[in-house]
This record gives sequence, C-alpha cells and structure tokens, in this order.
Amino acid sequence: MEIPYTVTPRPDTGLSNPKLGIWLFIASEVMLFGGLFAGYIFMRLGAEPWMWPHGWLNVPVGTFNTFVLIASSVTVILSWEALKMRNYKAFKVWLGITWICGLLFLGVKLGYEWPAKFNHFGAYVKKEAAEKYEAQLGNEDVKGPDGKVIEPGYVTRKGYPRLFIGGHPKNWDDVKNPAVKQIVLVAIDEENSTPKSEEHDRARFIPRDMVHLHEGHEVVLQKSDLLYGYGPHYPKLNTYLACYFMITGLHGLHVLGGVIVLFYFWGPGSKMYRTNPLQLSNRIEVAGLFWHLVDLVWIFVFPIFYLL
Amino acid sequence: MADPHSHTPAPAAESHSASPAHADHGAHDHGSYLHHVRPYLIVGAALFIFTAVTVGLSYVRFEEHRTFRWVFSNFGVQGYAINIAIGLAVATFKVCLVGAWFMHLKNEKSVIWRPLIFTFIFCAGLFTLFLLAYYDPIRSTSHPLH
Repeated sequence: MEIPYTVTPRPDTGLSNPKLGIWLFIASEVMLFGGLFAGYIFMRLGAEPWMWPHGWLNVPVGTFNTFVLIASSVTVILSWEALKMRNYKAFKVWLGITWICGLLFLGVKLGYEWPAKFNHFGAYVKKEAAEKYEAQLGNEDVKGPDGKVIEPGYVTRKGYPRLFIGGHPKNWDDVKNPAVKQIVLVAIDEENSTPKSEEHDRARFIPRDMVHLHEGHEVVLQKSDLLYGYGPHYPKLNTYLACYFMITGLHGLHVLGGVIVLFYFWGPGSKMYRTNPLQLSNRIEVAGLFWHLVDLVWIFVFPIFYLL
Repeated sequence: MADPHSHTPAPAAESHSASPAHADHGAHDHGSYLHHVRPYLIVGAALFIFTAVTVGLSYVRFEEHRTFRWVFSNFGVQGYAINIAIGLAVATFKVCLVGAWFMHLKNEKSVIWRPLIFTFIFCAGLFTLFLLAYYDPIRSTSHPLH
C-alpha cells in the first residue's frame, strides 16, 4: 500500500504529510521543554544566591559541545542543499559530519561530564554542626585585635551560612556503608579550601581542580553531622542536580534518536537516492528539522545550567 | 556501496519547498551551491559568535553597575536576575536565527505558523504561571532549609 502525500503536498494543507507531522511534533516538544525550563528558571530565581551551585559544570566543555551542535545544525542543512542539487558526494560528506558531531556531543556528555559528577562527593552539613567545620565553610568573620573585621565571613557577605562541603573521599565504601560513622576527605573543593574568598561567589570559566590534602590534614566528616543525601553528585543531592540530569538526559535521548535516524539516512537509507531522490530529500529535510530542534533546545540548556 | 551517480535520476522540483532557495537545480554547480548555502554559513558563524557573547556576558557583574543598581532597588530583583534575563534574551535571539534560517520559518506556510503561535502562547502562559507564583508565593509552604 502506498502512503499518500509523502512527497507531494496535500491539496488542503499545501504540505507533505511528513513535514506537517514533524512540525506538530516540534510544537509538542517546545511545550515539553518550555514547561521544564519555566520550572527550572523560577526555582533558580527563587533560590538564595548561596544555595545555587556555581561552577559545578565545566564551562569550556559545555561551550565546546554547544559549538559541536551548532556546527552539526549547519552541516545537516548543507547536506540537504547538496541533495537537492543532486550532489550525492557532498550530501554524504555533510550528513556524515552531522551524525559524527552528534556522537561527539554524546561522547563528551556520557564519557566525561556525567561520570565527573558521579566521582565527586558532596554533603550538606547540619546547621548546628557547622561550627565544627568552620575551616571549610568560612562562615565567621576574622577580626583584628581591635575587634574590627579584617576578613568578612560567608554569613556577613551573604546573610546565610555556607553549609556545603565537596571533595573526594578516601574510601567510597565508607560513604555507602551505614556501619561506618565517618567519611575522610583526601581532597576538597577550592571553595572549601579558601572559604572566605569572594571569588567563589561567581562561576569561573576555567574550573579549578580539587585541593589535595596532606596525610594528617584530611577533613573528617561525621555522618551524624550531615544531612541525608550526602554522597556522589547524584540527582538526589540537590534540586540543581536533579534538574540538570533530568533535562540534559532528556535532551541526550533526543540527540541519540537524531543520530540513529541520520546514520540510517547516511548509510542504508541513502540507497533511495537511486530510485527516489525527491523522497530522500524530503526525509533529510524532516530529519534536519528535528535535528535543529535538538540544537535550539541546547541553546537554552547551555546558558541556564552552565552560566547562570 | 556502488556510486549512485551512475544512476543519477532526472531532477524534479520539490513542490512543497518554502523558499526559492529550495528550488531544485539538478546540477553539480559548485558556484551555485556555494551561493545557496552562504546564508547558512553566515547564520552558523553568527551562532558561534553569540555563543561566545553569552559566555562573556555571564561573567559581567551587572549588579555593580549604577543603572542596574537602580533597577534592583526599585523592582526588588537580585543581581544575578539581570544575568539570567540577558542570557535568556541572547539565547532567544539565537533560537530565532535557527528557526528563521535553518528551519525556514521566515518563508513558511501559515499552516505551520498557526499551531506554532499557539505553542508559544501556551509556553508564555506557563512562564506567567511561574512568574505569578514567584511574586506571590504561598508562605505556609515555604520552609527554611534548616
């Protein structure tokens, strides 16, 4: 059975069915991501400055991934134009670059960015126990002999105590084992190493490495001093990570779907060029529209998670 | 895979094409190809540049500027809210470039525009709902962290 209007436009809509279908799908996707972005942005606005993590994501890596997706958006349209002009060789080259860019994006995300979160320890200290970890939290003012504040603490600057300590534990099993009552950190985040520095109030473009602690100077966290949820930077650690993994994960699934479709049209699906190049051209156009959606969703994801 | 060039079929016009640039030329005209794709290359370059601008602007401390201090004191918004607003404005501009040029919305038929307009209205409605909740929170549901 032949499916009608896959190439020629329907008389009533003036569009081929696949094109109308992909646009309705894009409209539904805009609603999906629009709702998620709206929720995230207003949670971000409603959070006090100290509560929202800055610098947890690697900005140069995120910028690189943005460039990769933008480049792939350009190449997918170049492949479509090449196909329309019956330049099969150029079509193959540009479409090949497109799905390779998609794979590169996923590789960076799944091979570097997400695992980096799973290998990082974080914990919120209970407010009543914060004084014990003053060296890492820096909440109190440093005063001179005359009583004047020499270096303001975090509470003075922000009005709230800093309660987060991040780093790398000596033994991950200690984190998971409820029988072990304390966690020894052999490295801590830069902002816990020099907690009174105002430089930590904003994200840094080049992220700093953790500060490694010499033997005998490790930070010992008593589990009874920590709020529930301590451990790797999993979604359960805080709202920011929950939103980050959910939205970037959903976007990543779209990238994966796009890569599979584009790879098919680049490989086995490109045989259609011999029999019906017009239909292949329409397929690339529809797949390209989806790929542009993937790109424009990331254009919003990048600033709201990495920069703001 | 065999070279499909040996089977190159006769060109046919894609009648649903939205833009004159989409007309089928059916020839390996390199100069013509470059002419057709030049707008896409320019838009792509613009997207690269505005990505760099977005990154740069996120490090500007607007709250330290006199003009923005006036905004903060009169509208009760915090410093980073300006960064968020400007970051979203640049991102929206970039999305408009992608939509208009790469997705050809600037020349698209009204049958596509109409559902999209409704989509954006509903999206704006979603943002408005959150905005209303932001400025008029239900206090009894708001708890300090500790």
